[in-house]
Amino acid sequence: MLPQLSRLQTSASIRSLGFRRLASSHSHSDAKVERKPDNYRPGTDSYAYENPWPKLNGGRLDWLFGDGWRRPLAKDQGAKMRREWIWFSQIAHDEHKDWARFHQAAFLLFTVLTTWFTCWIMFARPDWPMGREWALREAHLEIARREKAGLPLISPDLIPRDRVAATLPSDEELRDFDVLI
Amino acid sequence: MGEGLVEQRQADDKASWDAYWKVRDIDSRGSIYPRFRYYAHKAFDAPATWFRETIVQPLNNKNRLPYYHRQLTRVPEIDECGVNDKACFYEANEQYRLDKMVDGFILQTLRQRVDRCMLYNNPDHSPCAKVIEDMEENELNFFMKYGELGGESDVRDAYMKQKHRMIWERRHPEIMDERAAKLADHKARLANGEFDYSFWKKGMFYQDKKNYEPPYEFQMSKSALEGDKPLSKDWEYYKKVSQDPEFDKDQGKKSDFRLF
Repeated sequence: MLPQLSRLQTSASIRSLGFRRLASSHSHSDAKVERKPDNYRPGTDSYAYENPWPKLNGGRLDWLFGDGWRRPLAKDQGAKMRREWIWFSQIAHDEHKDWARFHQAAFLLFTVLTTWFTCWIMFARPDWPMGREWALREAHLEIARREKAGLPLISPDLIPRDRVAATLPSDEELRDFDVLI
Repeated sequence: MGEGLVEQRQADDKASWDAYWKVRDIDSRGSIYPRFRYYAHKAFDAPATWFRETIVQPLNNKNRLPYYHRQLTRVPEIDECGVNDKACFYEANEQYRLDKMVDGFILQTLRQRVDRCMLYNNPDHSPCAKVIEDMEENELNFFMKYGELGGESDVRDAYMKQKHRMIWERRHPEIMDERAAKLADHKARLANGEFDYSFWKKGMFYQDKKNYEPPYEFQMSKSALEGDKPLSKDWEYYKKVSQDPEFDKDQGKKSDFRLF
């Protein structure tokens, strides 16, 4: 009887304490905070102008970047200069022209010029001064010439042996010079 | 026969295609589906061949432009250059660069011949003995001329390499005589139809002695690129070698690798 009675009293006191604390905080905060819908994302209600793509509202990109990821409007589409506009250093007074000029230059440089340069190196570059194509044809011609002449296809001597032997130092000149091959 | 090379090649090509269609014709006689397949292929091929042979080829032969392979004049070699003659050295080095590239492509062509011959004659590679011999001999010559000089070598390095080699050959005539005798013997046996691949290369990668390290306490005693490695992983082998004078007198000094 005694332990049961003490446990009941303890739980009752804790429960009343919780209720009292919750009631005071809840009633206190109601007067200051405005309720938002459950799909609210911070920063998504700060458009500089009316959004012309309503179906795209509320997406992940809006949640991540606000309206910064959207293509800027031209003047005839109702554009206004946004306070968050970071320009591309092209035209300071028109956001759409600035955006268009920069992207046109980027396409010409990064896409057209890179592709052309790659294709030029691969297909259109002249053979000289590298001479690789010439050497490949010369190799086949040299094989035919040397087979006809009965010589080895690749000679082990860079310069004819008699010419090198004529200028070789003698053993007296070399003395103890060690030749390791 | 008086025709040009282009006309000869076109005639050979036409003869090959005629032979192909003749084989298709003979092969499909007496059958139903193959015969109709032959008719279908012929129905597509005949107008295309006619158009090519009567319209396209005459136009190409009439309008063909000649191709000229550039003939480079030889310039003085490095041994004729003065010590401080930078222009002469530059020209000799450019000539060396092109000659090295040509020799590299020659070696590449020989290796391609060996690959195609081995692929065609698989698994019996004995008809490839001549092309393998040519490739190995010229690969050795390429190594004697350009090998172990590195990517930044120039014509002076190659010249010094040849000079050093000739001095070494002058100092060791007995070795050069023995090598010449062995080469002559190898050539004679090759002419008799006996090809010994181990004359050029003693074995393949999987026969490398670097795999002969003992299985215990694996610490490489020497670099795997060097040739002096243990012969066996078995200690009893070395015991038998020390006790029996007749046991394994070669001790790995000869190769029994057979290419075919």
